[in-house]
Amino acid sequence: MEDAFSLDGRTAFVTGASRGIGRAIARALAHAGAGVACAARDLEQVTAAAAEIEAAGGRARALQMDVTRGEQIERAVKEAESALGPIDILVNNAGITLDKPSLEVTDEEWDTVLATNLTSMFRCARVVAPGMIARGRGKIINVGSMYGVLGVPRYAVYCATKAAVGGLTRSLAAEWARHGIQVNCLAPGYMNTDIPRAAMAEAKTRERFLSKIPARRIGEPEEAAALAVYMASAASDFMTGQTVYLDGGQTTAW
Amino acid sequence: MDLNLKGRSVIVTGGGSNIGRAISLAFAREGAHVTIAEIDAGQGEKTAGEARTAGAASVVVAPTDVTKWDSVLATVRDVEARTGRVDVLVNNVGWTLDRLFVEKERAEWEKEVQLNLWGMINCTRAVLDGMIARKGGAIVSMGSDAGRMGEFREAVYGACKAGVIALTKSLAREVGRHGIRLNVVCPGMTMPSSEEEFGDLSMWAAEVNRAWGTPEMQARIAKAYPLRRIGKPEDVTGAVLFLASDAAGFITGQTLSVSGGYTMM
Repeated sequence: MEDAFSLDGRTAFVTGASRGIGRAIARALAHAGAGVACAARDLEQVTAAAAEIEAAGGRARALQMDVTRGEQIERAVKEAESALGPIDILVNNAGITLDKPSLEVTDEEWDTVLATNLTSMFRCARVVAPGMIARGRGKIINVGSMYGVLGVPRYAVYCATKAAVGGLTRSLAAEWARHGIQVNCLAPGYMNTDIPRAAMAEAKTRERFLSKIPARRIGEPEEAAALAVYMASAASDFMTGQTVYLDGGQTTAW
Repeated sequence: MDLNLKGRSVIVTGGGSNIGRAISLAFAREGAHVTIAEIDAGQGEKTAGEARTAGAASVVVAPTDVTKWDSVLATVRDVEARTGRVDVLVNNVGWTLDRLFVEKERAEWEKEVQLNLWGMINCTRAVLDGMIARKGGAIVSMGSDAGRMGEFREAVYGACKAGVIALTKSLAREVGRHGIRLNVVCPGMTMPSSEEEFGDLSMWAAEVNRAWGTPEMQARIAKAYPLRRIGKPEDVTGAVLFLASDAAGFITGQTLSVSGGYTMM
């Protein structure tokens, strides 16, 4: 086993940790040795996520937090740090999607998706970065999407936010590199989570989806979690500003 | 995170020197069967000795000229006979001379194309039959930011590395259905930390490249990297191990620049 992949003694803060990819990431970071603050809007779900980690012998703290509310982010980070220690790893995972013809998207919907998927990442980074800068090290993992490089009908706002995550990642990476902070983007393709699973319930749709994926399968949340562990660990200390697509070869964007 | 590389059969081309050496040793620490495919058997043996101490399941130095199909095929067949299969191929052999395009001789371009591109094509082709038959395998190739962004004095080298990236992406599409994954890691400028870490045939032994090793030049290069230092051979081993492992089972056709933030795209 390579020590470079260990997260022993580290503390992580994961947004959107109640379900799907975020929950799998929280579990994997804890399994690799980190204490994990699990933040999400749904208190019941996020409490279950933290309990799951503790039941497996890990350290966790459940936090109710709405990523679109700046004061809630500050309160949650404070609580996480007093419970688990200074945050070494931030996983900006919380996100929502919107599947709708662009001409029907309202201003409110546009603003909500932007606030949840993009602005929240900047705000969370801004809250944890001063501590990372003071300690001279940190890891920020922004969850993007394959949709950040694809043109997808009915997903204009979602695609726009996920493309923007790449730009945010590169700028923060360049700006904070000298402080020992690495910022990378984990960009999943179709994963075995609620929305794609529902979309692929029908055999014909499933066939159409899979025919576009060279690996001929969708990804598992645990696979996104393994990439997160790499990005959170010393094994990736010389990598920053990168977007890694986890999509079975679907985009192979340059 | 346990990458489950124990007992896996891994070929590292150019696995005796510099980055290749660090990769061979990293797989050795994971308990893999390591085959160091080297044109410089002496340097290969030096690294093999370290790899045995580090905990490899087995270490064999296979004298190999990656530019010669027969040589490559013989190495791969030998590994398959000895360990039963090739789980992982690391295309690490690389070569360049630090010179302007217009000042290079045709023979230099040809050597760069042979070692950087033909070597990767030969080795990749040679392991694929077995991987397809067994429905699985991982190929990690060393690219370069010169192949993504272009680089001053690295025209043909950059073209070859762009070729490595494009070949990886095309093949990822072609053989994904067989459970085979191909990815690229682009290191930054990576200097060996001592003369012991490379052989006489390494590009680091070439006189013209020695200019990169001066403290002034190193400081100048480090400034171009957001992380403010040049690479160490160990910097890329995490990415290579991860991409070679089942933990990266849904990642294919990707290029990771592990180069201190030099290239972000």
